Amino acid sequence: MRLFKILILVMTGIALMVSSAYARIVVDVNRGHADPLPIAITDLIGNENDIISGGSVKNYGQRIALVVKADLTRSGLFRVVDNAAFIKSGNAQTTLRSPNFNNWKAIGAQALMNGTISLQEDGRLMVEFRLWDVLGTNQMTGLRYFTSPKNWRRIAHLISDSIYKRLTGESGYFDTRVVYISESGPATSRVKRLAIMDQDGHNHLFLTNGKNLVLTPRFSPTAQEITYLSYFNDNPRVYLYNIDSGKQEILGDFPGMTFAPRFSPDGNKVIMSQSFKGNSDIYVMELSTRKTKRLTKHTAIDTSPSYSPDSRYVTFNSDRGGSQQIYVMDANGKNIKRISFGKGRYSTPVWSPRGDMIAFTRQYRGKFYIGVMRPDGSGERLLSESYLDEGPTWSPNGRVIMFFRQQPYDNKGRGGETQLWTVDLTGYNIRQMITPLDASDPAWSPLIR
Amino acid sequence: MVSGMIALPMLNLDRPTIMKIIPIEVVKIGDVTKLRAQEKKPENKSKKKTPERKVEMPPEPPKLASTMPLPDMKAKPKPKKKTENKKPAETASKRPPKVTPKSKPRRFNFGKLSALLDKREKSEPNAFEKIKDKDYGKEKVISTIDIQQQTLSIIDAVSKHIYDNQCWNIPAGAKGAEGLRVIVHVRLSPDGLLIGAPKVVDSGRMNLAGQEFFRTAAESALRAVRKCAPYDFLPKAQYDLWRDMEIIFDPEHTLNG
Repeated sequence: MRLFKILILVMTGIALMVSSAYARIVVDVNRGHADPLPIAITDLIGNENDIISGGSVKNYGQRIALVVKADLTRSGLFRVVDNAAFIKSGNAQTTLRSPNFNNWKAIGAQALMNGTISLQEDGRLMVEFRLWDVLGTNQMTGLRYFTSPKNWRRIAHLISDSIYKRLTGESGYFDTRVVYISESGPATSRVKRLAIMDQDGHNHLFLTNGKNLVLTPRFSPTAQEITYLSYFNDNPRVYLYNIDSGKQEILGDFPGMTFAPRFSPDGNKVIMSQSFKGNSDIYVMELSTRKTKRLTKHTAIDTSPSYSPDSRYVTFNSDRGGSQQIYVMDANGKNIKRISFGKGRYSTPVWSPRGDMIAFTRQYRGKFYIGVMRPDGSGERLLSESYLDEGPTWSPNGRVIMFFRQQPYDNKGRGGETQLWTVDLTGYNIRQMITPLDASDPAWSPLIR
Repeated sequence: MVSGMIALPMLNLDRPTIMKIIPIEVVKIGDVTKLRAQEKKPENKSKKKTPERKVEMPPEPPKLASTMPLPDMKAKPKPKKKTENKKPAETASKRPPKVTPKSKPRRFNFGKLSALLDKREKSEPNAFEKIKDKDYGKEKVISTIDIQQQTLSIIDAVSKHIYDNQCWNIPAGAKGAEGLRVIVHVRLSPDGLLIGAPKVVDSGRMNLAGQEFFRTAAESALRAVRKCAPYDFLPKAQYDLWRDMEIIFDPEHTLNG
């Protein structure tokens, strides 16, 4: 027994010392940086002797890389490492599958994309890419696409989306389009046409000829379909336009004024405001039956309704409290609650497709702001500020907001130009979209596929 | 208030509860960040303390160091599990008797010993007291103070290193990003190089569907750990303290602040 006691004493003594040393240090890192992730995008390797319309296959490989770089840079979440910094080593083909990670690490890249492009016998292009974790020295994703050469830009956007998704955990938004109102001519007789383009401004098309005034285009969240408002015999009509087929139909003539028709998240309903004798309320229309139901009954002006992505709630704009503010109600029109309480006026609430935020326009002391707040009204943040910012629309992943900005007129009546801008949720990454003419009232599509 | 705080440690000097007061002292030792400098000149530092401690402090780390090489890496998970189950750091010194990396083989050699397992858990406090009686106690308490101070400055240094070198790029803007806390287990060589790949403690979650945001956060943490290597600024004399670390990457402060 004595032996045991001594043994236990000795062992516990050792254990005391060992374990106190072994109590693993826990370091709490709670300060970081929110810098863009450095990524290297190499040109896709292709044969320069394979010529297709528009250039060699090698040339297509370079152009795809350029579009991917532009997409990722514009997102603000990535910093594309300059090709001039690349350290060349070994055969391009062999390094495709086993990159020299030390070389990439040396130039500060933390992710790497490489790949190939080749011409198939049927005339299609095969594009293959891999995304590598430079510090972890492993492949993160790799995909292969087949497409006709004229769709090369879409392939580039799909690659951008894959990279974005793999590195941020969130769906991308590069393979998307934007419809907007293209404007031209003097302020007194403005020609407004419906136009569409890729989210990066390419593949621009006019959808209407400008003879009739068009307003408030809105994308269906589920299909390449838009609703918009146009005037016919001085009466507003709501149109449904299928972008892929080019077909359009009239949803109905609405007596009185109709504003801002917007799809429900499942694409089966359209919610809008209608006004009779100066009183505007919110209505919802079932697309299949064309039956309309009234949601609000108030003497105040209720406008610009927008569904939450789960269809359970609707946010809208009302002056029932004395000034224009944002409200949220159940989808059946009950439980109306005001959520905006800041100074100034709030309008055009749009629920994020991600559900966590509502974007809005705020007007205060002669300035306009685009901002976001949580659906309960907390966490308000203003992302942009100018003489006139309006009409926010969300990218399908809820990370970026597009809106339009109008320049002030000078005392000679010059100015007043309108352009489209994008800003991300951080508010730091604000960029102008390039459009052929003046542009307003953008609407962002869901992912195309 | 201040005078009260000074008086307390003096009154309680002989009690084992000194440990509870240590954190107050530790706050003052903020400049312990200059750990390396202080190590080289232990005499300067000791002026502020009683001669008794001055003598005892320096020898401590070597003692611990000599015990360290004994258990192999495989023995580690056990102590870790038990320390995780019980919360406060103060009880750490009471737990050890349960876990003896060395005892493993011996348990099998002495058949009767296995029968003592339960009893040993119950008699844990007694064992601890007996050790104290043999003057182990005093030594232990002081060395724990020392270790706590050193530990704090190591924690400080690693955290500062990661921030100053901009190694951690927070995935901002993700839905609920502020709640994505990631713990990375890091093992280091005496030169401060990573031994093996750093591991996310909750790595299973990384590959679950619907946990893409966690994976992104986890990968940003792993990138930070790798980008910031080597950790050669850590004091070699205290290698035993930092050879095995957990680094918690918590974006809440940055994203909400």
